[in-house]
Amino acid sequence: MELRDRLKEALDRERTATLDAAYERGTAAREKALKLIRGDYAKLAAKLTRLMQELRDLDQVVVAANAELERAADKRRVKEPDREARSQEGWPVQHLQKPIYQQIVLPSAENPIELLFPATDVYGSKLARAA
Amino acid sequence: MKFADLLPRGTPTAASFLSAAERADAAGKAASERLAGLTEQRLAALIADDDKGLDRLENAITAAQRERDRLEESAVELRRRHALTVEADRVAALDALHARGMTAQRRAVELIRDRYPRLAAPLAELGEELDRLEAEIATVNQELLKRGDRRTVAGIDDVARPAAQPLDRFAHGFTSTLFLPHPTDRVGTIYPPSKPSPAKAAA
Repeated sequence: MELRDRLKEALDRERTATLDAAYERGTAAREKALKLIRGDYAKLAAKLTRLMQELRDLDQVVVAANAELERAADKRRVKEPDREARSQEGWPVQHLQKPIYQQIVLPSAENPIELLFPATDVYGSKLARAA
Repeated sequence: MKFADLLPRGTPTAASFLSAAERADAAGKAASERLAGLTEQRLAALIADDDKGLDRLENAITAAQRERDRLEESAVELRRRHALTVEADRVAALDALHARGMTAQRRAVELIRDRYPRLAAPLAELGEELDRLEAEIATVNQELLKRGDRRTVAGIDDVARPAAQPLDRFAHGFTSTLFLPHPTDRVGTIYPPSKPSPAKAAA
C-alpha cells in the first residue's frame, strides 16, 4: 500500500515536472517572439518603411514625367521602375503588376489594428500619421 | 541701326530675341515715318524746282529706305531666331524631364534589386522564426490541455500587440498580416514564403 502511494506521488511529480517544463518552453518561445517583434522587427521595418516611401516618391517622379511628355506630344516614355526591376519579359502569361510599395504589408509591432506600411489600419482606413 | 546692334548681348535667350524683334519693329516704324516725311518734302521740292534740295532729299530717301528695309528684315530674322530658341528650349526642357524620369527609374530599380532584398530577407527570416515560435506555443498549449493542466501560454499577439478594444481581437495576427513581395518575381513572395511562380519558372 505504502509503495503504491509512493509510486503515485512519484508519477505525479514527474507529470508536474514535465508540464512545468512544457509551460516554460512555451513561455520562453513567447518571450523570444516578443523580443523579435519589439526589437529586430521594429528596427528593420522602420528602414523598410522609409525605403517604400522613397520608392513611392520615385514612382511619382516617373508618373509626372510621363504625363508631361504625353501632354507635350513627346513619344518618349519612362518605363515604370517596378516593371523594369521585376520584368515579366518572356513570361507566357502577363500578370497585373502592382509596385512593391503597393503590395507590401508591414504590421505594427504594438497595435493589432494599425499597419506600419502602408499607413492605414487593417481595414484600409488612412491613419492620422499618413496625413 | 545695324542688325548687329539689335542682336542680344551675352547668351541669347527666347526673351532677348523677342525683345530685340520688338525694338526692330519700333525702329522700323520710326524709319517708315521718316521716309514718309522725306517723300512729302521731295514732292514739294519737285514743284519748287529745287534741284539742289532734290539731290539732298533723294540721297536721304535712299538711306531711309535702306534703314527701313534693314529694320523690317531684322525683325523677321529676330522672330525666326526667337522661334528657334523657343523650340530648342522646349526640346531641352523635355529632354531634362525625360532624364529626370530615367534617373528616378534607375534609382528605384537599384533600390528594388539591391536594397530591398537586403532589408526584406532578415524580415522574412524573422517571420519564419515567429511561425516556428507560434507553432511551439500551440504545441505546448495542446499538451497542457491534453494532460488536464489549466495553464496556457498566451499567444504572441496577445502579449506583443494586445487588443485595446474587444473587436481588435478579430484582427489578423502579426504573421498573417506580414507580406513581403519577392524582389524579382512579381507574383511570388519572400514572406509568406512561396515557390517561384510557374510563369517565372517557365521564362
